[in-house]
Amino acid sequence: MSAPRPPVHAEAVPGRPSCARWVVPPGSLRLVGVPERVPAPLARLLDEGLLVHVEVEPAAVLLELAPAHTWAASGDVVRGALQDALTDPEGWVPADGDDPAREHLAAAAREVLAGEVGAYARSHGGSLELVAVHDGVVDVELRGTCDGCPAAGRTLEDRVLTAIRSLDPSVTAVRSVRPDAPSDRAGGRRLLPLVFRR
Amino acid sequence: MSDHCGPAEPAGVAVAGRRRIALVGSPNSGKTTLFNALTGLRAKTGNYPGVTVTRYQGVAETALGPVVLEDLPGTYSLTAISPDERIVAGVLDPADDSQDTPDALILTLDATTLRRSLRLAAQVLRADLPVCVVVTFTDELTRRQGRLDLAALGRALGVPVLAVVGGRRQQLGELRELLGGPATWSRPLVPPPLDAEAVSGWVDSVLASAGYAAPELDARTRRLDAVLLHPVGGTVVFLATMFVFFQTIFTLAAPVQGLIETGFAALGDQVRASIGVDWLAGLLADGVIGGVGGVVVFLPQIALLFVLISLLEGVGYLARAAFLMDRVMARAGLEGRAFVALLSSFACAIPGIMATRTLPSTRDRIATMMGAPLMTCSARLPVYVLLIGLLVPSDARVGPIGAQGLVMFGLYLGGAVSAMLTAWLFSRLGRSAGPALPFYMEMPPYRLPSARSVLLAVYDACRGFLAKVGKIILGTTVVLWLLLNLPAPSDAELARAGVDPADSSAVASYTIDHSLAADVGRAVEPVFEPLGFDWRINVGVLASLSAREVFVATMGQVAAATNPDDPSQALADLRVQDGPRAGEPLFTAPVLAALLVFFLYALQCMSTIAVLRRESGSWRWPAIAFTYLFALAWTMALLARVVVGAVT
Repeated sequence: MSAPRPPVHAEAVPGRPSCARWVVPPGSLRLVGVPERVPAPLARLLDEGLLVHVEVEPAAVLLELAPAHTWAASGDVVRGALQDALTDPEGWVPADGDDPAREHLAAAAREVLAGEVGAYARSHGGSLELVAVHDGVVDVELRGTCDGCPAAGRTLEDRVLTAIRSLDPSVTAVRSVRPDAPSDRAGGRRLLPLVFRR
Repeated sequence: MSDHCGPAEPAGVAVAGRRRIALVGSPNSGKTTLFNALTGLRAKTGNYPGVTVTRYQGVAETALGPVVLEDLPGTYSLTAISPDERIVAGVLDPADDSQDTPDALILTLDATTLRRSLRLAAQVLRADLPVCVVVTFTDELTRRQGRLDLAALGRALGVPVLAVVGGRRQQLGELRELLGGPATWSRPLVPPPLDAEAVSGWVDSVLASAGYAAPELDARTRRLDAVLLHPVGGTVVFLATMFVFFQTIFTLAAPVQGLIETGFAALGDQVRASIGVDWLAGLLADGVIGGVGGVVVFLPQIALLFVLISLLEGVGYLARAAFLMDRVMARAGLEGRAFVALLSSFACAIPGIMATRTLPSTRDRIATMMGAPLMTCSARLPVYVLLIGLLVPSDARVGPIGAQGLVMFGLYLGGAVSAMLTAWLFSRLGRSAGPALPFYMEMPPYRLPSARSVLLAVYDACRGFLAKVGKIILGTTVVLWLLLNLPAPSDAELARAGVDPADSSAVASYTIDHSLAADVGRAVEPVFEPLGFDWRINVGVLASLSAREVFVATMGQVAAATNPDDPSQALADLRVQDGPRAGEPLFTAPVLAALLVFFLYALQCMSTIAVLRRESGSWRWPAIAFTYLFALAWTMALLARVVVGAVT
């Protein structure tokens, strides 16, 4: 094992004790959902019946353990297999070959808007809706009080961009679009913010 | 608890079944502060790694009644190499029967050094116990532009996480609530990995998940460190600091000392005047007041020493000094931890010897223990001050610098160098070199220490000093007074010797010269004769085996007997009574130099010997230490006498 193993850790999934949500480095996998095929180290655990389910989320892999096993006992084995599998991104074959990278970004955006950043907007009486994802650009619609407030818009764009980047580094920009405006407004592509934190 | 006999106790009040929760964390992670805040106990906390070496237990109130809280020694890992780590590892291992395993753990993590602290967390979370994480120093993290998402950290670790800054009340309330029910704490779904490389990955992943941004070193600290940690500049500053340190001790303490001296003299006169019974007045005035007063005079200097030490420690300079010295120590084949132990010995060898518990290798532990008694402890200070006062006039100067402070600086330096050499020698004797283990040491940011913590340290030191005076020194001086004044000569005996019974000072001199103590002092004369010690110094040296300060008390008694009005002048005027040097002044420069050097090396402290016995586990090492230090002291004293004799 010459290549360093990617850093991972496991988190609990509320309500599903047999499931562990393994947080993996953002950008290590470019697909979401249940893969058609996984690399050999993980596939072996599926074949052996230790694992019963593998599902990819943005910057995370959901693994479900067979009923007879416990994470306390099998955690180290599964971790090793997952880390080995992550060093082979090509081995993860998505179920349908539409545009897995775009779907990954869309899933990341949805997760962000449903999470803390979305909650922040809602706490200010507004809301954020995902409109479209294309070529690394995420179009977001500002609704409620956020709409029409340029400062709020700019702040939100930055926040959303930072949050999405932490799940999918391939994102290049977040644009806020008006519900009636054409999605490709003039000069609408924002430059990268000067400061961003990973 | 199914094998209960007798009537069932009401739930929740069984004292034996009281829940035990242990505090685990790295040194300096705010663990002891948290322990004190939860239990209301006062235990010393410091800016200095390795302060918590003993086990502390206390009772903390929680939402569901009291729990027993145990403060475990600070540790960076549970690999069980050093004795401290062994204790913690033993406590956390349910299979280890020598230690009771607690019901739950509180793990303190310093937010400013989270990357390193999480490595310990990985090991602690693998223990099959409920764990609750308390993140400390989050205020400092924010101030130094760091970031941490506590909720995300809690999700990543899989255990309850909360922040407690410096024992703040409201945050403590939340913690007390939590401590009520460890059974309800969430446990990590998947335990963290075990092997070092995998742990690094786990730490990276957890930190990224918790949005951690490490704090920046503040600009002031960085600029100061550029100078203070510089190999050359730093060493110069270090020596200069130590130098100013000893000058201060001499110049500032003198006026207060004068006051105490006058006070005790007045008290002695008062006692002598108001008590009719001669021998009782003598015992009280010369024995108790003279002896104790002679030592208490040094209280201002002890206080000042500890003000300066705790200031240097609180400001964050001592950690730098240890870091600088790590390089020197490495050359001596020891590591920085050994220097921390030696540095503590400046105050007293006992905490220094106990601090060797943080050393992983037995060889280094023994080597450091053998060196620690050579560091100039505060008990030597009174002896040095007394003898330097006789050796060098207070107005003598070398250029602009007071000569007394200079000699003192030289003695401290001599002690430190000898300690290092001894440690080096003993680590050489211990054959094979073990693997070099990483040495972690906090470089705390420079900050002004709180007046309270400085005062507390000084108060503790002064109280300890006075307690020692009250017990060991008072007892020894009373015994000495008896030995010096018995047997009382009869009038007939005085007449035979040609002493006028009316001349009290002549009688006193005669009595002392023919006392039991004199017999003892003369008996050991052959041993100390080459050093120029007469029987009076011998009595002082023998008495100081109990505690070094007793030497001062003994000399005080001897001098007070000859001239009660001005004991210090009397001491300077003492003359050799017999032998080839009879009639010459007793305290000549060569003899004083020999005495100073003797006190630098000799192991005259019963407490140190007892601690050596306890920490090394046998009488072998204390016996070796006592013997070799005595031989060394004798040889070096002879050398000093010859050299100074040749120069003057």
